[in-house]
Amino acid sequence: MKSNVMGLALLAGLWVFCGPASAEIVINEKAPDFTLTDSRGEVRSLSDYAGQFVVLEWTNYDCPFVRKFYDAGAMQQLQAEYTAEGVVWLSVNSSAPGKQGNYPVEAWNRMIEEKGVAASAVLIDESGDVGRLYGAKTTPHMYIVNPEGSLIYQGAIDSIPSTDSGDIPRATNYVQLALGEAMAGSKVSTPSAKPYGCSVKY
Amino acid sequence: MRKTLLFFLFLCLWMAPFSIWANPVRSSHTEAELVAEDLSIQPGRNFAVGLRLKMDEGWHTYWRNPGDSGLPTVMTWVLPEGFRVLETEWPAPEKFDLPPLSVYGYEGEVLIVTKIAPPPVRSALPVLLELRASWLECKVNCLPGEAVLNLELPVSDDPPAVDSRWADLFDETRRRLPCLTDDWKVTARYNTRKILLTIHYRGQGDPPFSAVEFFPFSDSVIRHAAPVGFRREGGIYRLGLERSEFSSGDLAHLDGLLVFRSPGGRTEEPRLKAVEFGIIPEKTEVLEDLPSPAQAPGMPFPGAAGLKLTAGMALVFAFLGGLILNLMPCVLPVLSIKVLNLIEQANENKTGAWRHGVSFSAGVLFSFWALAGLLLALRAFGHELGWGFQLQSPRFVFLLAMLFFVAALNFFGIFEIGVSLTSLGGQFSGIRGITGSFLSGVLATIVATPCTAPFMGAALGFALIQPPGMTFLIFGFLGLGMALPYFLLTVYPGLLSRVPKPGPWMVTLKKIMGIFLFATVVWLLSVLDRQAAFASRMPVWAGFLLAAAGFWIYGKAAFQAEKPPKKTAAMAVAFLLIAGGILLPLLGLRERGTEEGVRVTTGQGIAWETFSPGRLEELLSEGRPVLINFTAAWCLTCYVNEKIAFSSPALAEKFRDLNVAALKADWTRRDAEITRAIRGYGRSGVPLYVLYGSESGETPSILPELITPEIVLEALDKIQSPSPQGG
Repeated sequence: MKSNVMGLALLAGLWVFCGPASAEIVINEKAPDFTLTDSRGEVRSLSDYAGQFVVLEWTNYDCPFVRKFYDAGAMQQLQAEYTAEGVVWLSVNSSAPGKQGNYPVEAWNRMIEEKGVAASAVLIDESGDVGRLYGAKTTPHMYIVNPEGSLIYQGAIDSIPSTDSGDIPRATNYVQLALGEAMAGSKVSTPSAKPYGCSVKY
Repeated sequence: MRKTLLFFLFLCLWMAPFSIWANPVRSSHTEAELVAEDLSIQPGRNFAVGLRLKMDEGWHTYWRNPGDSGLPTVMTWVLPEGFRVLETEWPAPEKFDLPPLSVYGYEGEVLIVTKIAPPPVRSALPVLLELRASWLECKVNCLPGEAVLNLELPVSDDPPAVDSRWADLFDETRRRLPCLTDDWKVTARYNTRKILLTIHYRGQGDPPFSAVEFFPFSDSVIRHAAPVGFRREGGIYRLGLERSEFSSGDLAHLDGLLVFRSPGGRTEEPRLKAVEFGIIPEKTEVLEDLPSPAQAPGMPFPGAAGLKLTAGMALVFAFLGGLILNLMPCVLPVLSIKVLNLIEQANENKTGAWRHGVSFSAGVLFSFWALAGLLLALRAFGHELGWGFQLQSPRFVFLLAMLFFVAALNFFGIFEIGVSLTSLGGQFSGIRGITGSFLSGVLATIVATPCTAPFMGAALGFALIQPPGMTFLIFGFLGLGMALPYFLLTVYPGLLSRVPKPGPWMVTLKKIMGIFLFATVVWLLSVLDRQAAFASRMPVWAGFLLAAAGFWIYGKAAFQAEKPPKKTAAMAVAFLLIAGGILLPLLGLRERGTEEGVRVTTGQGIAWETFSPGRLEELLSEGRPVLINFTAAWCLTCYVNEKIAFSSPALAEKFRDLNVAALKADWTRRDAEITRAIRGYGRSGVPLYVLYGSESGETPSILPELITPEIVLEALDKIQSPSPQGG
């Protein structure tokens, strides 16, 4: 009788401690919720988009790896393509004030228009809290959240780490791959890939 | 005419050596050049050339595995027919920490060496080697660089002469090139979170290297920025590495460089040796935890700051800490109730009391060991945890709050623990039975955890980096210290003779203690508020309501001598309500997602910033003194310290005068980064106060666990006028 109680107590103890783990990014687990203000002053939370696919794109318009995609119009094309299909595309900038990629709000809106950015919103994360919450290391660093709120992809945007736009058509775009598979109901074949790019300027 | 021809011939012969000059190409911040070790090529003899990159001050390029960001230098050769590239050798890189990332690369000048095999057939004409190189050069921001480099070398049957311009560079580079060697044997074990490398030196005696670093060839095996555990025992080095989030499942292969360093001394140059290896690692379940000298700059080795503890001192500290714990606000209410019970019992059974003392002590010891064991086990599985980890779990905080709540209900007489339940241990009113005392020991330990007594912090920090045997011994002394006062009271009932005889005053005292307990519940709920999502409030409050109702019904039913069916029904309802009250919040508790609104600023005047290793580095490089306050909402000692010390206006003014930066590290919830920082200072829990002076390179001082404004002011004065260094 006593050993049963002890066993139960041990199990209970384990459950209490190993239950809800820290908000670390794990594939197929719940993506942590956050709230940020976008370039137009609107407050947006990840939980606002429950029921839709959400793509998080960490960006920095001055980074040569980001420019690889934006100068060639490739990122904007992806954004337009997927937002038309009902995917919510959120660009996030976590550059700290004074560091590369950090801009005042008016400048953001001007650049967004100039570059033809087709994301649903561009979120400003100056304190870097959300970047750190997600462990964003580089720009670009991509995350995909499914309608149920689970993280199904995190990592590089494609398979060729370089600053050369010419590599884009030759590379496997992991975001397209994962979204294609998830939207068709299949398992995501490459749920993570080491991201490449400039370091996030926290 | 002949003279002119001769002159031109002469000129050509003079010019010949200069045809191997390849002009360096400059990108924004790097000079790139293709150089050869020798002045000519001998057919059939392999020769070495190198890509020489010279970066401007502060700029770096990358190794073959760049680390968390960046790009490796790419080399594409265009060689004449018959020439083959044999191998490219990368000299040992350096690690650059740019929190939260780490990268591998080179600063200053680097020569990446390539061995080329010429065809055996001699050609009359000089040979043109072409290299297309592209790289990424970074300081804080990055720029791509590329160059097309040419090098022309004559072919000669004679053994080539060395090009003196590059001889030194090639020699120096060769010292940094890795080699495969039998002197070192490397094995590795891994689980889902960690990799443990064991490196055996097979030569004679002890190798002269004090440290070793691992640079993997693959960029997605380990977390490059994580602190590396390290232990050296003579000729055996152990490295504990965290696996990358991009590497899960089985590791088929592990290869990379081991770079051994000896710091050198007054008569010796610092030495470096790079060894290349490739092995098949072994999968295992549990790996030992190695102490990690903190990686971020400015953080000292464990024990370097504050007191250097020996095992003996740690035991003494643990014992003292345990003793003082009895006086801390967490334990005092529980203990005073135990003493009240003792007084009650002393009148009934004078000789049996010591049994309760032993049982209580056993309960305390058991709980400390259980907590230590759980902590060690979780850490072996890779969780970054420190002392107090149980309070970082919202479910545990809720259960603790419920426990205090039920105890308070009991103190107020809402219900009494009946005789029938004594085997489960009526914790507070009327302890009957040895088991009851054992359980009170367990309870006392559980409620003691939010409090950290003086001496405890240092002892625990020491304990958790020792082999498990020592850890348990230190925790045992902590338990003994805590159990001692109660134990003495049971063994020497004479001590109790001074206390007035039992009477109505005991009931009043109980009710006063009950109020303290309710206050604790309120405080724990505020902690839970910080840890759990907003939506969890309702289930938690509802849970308390249900429990209160359930215990009231139980109290009435048990007390009144009702007819059995009615009593059983009432007890059943009570049980259901209580069960619901506990389970509902447990199932409904959701962890809070974002940090928004969780920032706490205490004390008027001191401007607290959020702690991060990057911010600390920044402040230190600015030359400002920095005070780091590691705290948590559930840490009662921290709360008391903040009210007493950090609310002082005099202190705030001094901070402003000396331009002291104040960083607050909130450890209320699990945070691997803060846990690592705490371990870097040789501690394992909160509170922890670290003070950096404005002198760079100076080791920071650690303030005691209980602080007053005077202590902090004194410490600030000390860093202003550091004691003179001994000759």
